[in-house]
Amino acid sequence: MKINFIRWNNLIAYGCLSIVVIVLTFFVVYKANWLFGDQAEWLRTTAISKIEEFSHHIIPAEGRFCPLCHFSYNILIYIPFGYTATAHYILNAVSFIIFVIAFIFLLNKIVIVGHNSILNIWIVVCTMLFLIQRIYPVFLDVIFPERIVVTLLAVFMFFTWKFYKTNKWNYGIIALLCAVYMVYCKEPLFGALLVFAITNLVLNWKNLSSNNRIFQWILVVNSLIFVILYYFFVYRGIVSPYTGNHGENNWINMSLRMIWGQKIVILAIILFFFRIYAIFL
Amino acid sequence: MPAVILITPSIVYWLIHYLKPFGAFGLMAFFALFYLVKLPTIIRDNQQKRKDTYPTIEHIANYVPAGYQLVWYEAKSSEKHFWNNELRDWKKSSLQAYLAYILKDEKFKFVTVNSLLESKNHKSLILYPLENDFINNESTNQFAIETQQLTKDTIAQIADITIMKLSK
Repeated sequence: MKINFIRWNNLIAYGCLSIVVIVLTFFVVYKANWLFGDQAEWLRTTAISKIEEFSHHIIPAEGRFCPLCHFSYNILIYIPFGYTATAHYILNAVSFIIFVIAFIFLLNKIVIVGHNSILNIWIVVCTMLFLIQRIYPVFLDVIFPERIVVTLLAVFMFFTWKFYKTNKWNYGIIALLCAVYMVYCKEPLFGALLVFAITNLVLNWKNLSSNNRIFQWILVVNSLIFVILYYFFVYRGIVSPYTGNHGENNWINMSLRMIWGQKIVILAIILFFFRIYAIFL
Repeated sequence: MPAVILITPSIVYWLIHYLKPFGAFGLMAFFALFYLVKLPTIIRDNQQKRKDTYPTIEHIANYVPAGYQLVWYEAKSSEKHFWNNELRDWKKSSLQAYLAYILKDEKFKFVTVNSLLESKNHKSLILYPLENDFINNESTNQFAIETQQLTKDTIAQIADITIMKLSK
């Protein structure tokens, strides 16, 4: 009886989530058309069956170095009708589905383990709904490098977890390939992965297997290579760096605005201090 | 945004740890619903843009086969207005690329002028980016005075670009 109830509970939860994902995926592709603005990039390249070169995104004067940010769209020029706006949005839809699947696996394995409650599955659903609506706008347009970044990040996190658990290099290599690729999709990613690896090496050294230590060192080296390349190809040629602050000069205001924009970060900060309190006091 | 992806699993893990599943569920449900209500508006706006953009730019492109030259009006300024200059250049290159795509002419370029009088000998469609007003306070007045000196057909507003159709 109880097993039946759990089965129905899971079925309803995943059913709700699937309906939301299907509807959202539909609207990624529905009435696909080129928009005004940054999408001009495609109108000069893949929309007329030309390669989107990675050199377009190495712009020393503006401090930009994200050569692979749109490189994945080049696959479309080898596909019939790949030059259409619809094909570009279908690629977005595929990325969206990969993100959702990878993250559901991740949450199921990491978060739920050890907690036996019928609410577990609903926590996964609510977390997914929260994440989906935060990242969904990047799939509604074809211009955001975050499209490939969030997808690879989800895959990276899942396979990193698998590698931690099994110590098998085939999982580790998939995670590392994602890490190498995404660092060249958006500049700040090198820092995120560096913090991730160094935190593990410093605070978790004793618990890491030798394979895992190598894995973390490769992440560190990957970030350092990015920094060196950035220095030689971009940093020395910066004239007016792109800051993404849209005219806002005060970086404190900018930081506060960003934290306020991602309210869950406030929750993360509260949890961080609570955890510190729990450990030391 | 990637930061949110990175930290969310650990947030949920520690919420379950400290607040038990019920508390964690309540908080995550709140966060999910808090943002989820905005999603229909985001989708509606995006669909509207997809519907409107192509016909709007196609409308501009149609002037080219009709014998008009497309003129991009850039107000001059001695002061530096980095952000508005960047925005104006971005608009120019984006619109140029879109028009080149519709016209199937990779080499298509606007004729850029600092004064309307420079294009008075041609049948022209003048594109006036609103950033001009921020770059040079006198731009609107100057543009109006120059306009009076030429024969004016129609003035239309499309998005935030003022489009002025002039014919000789």
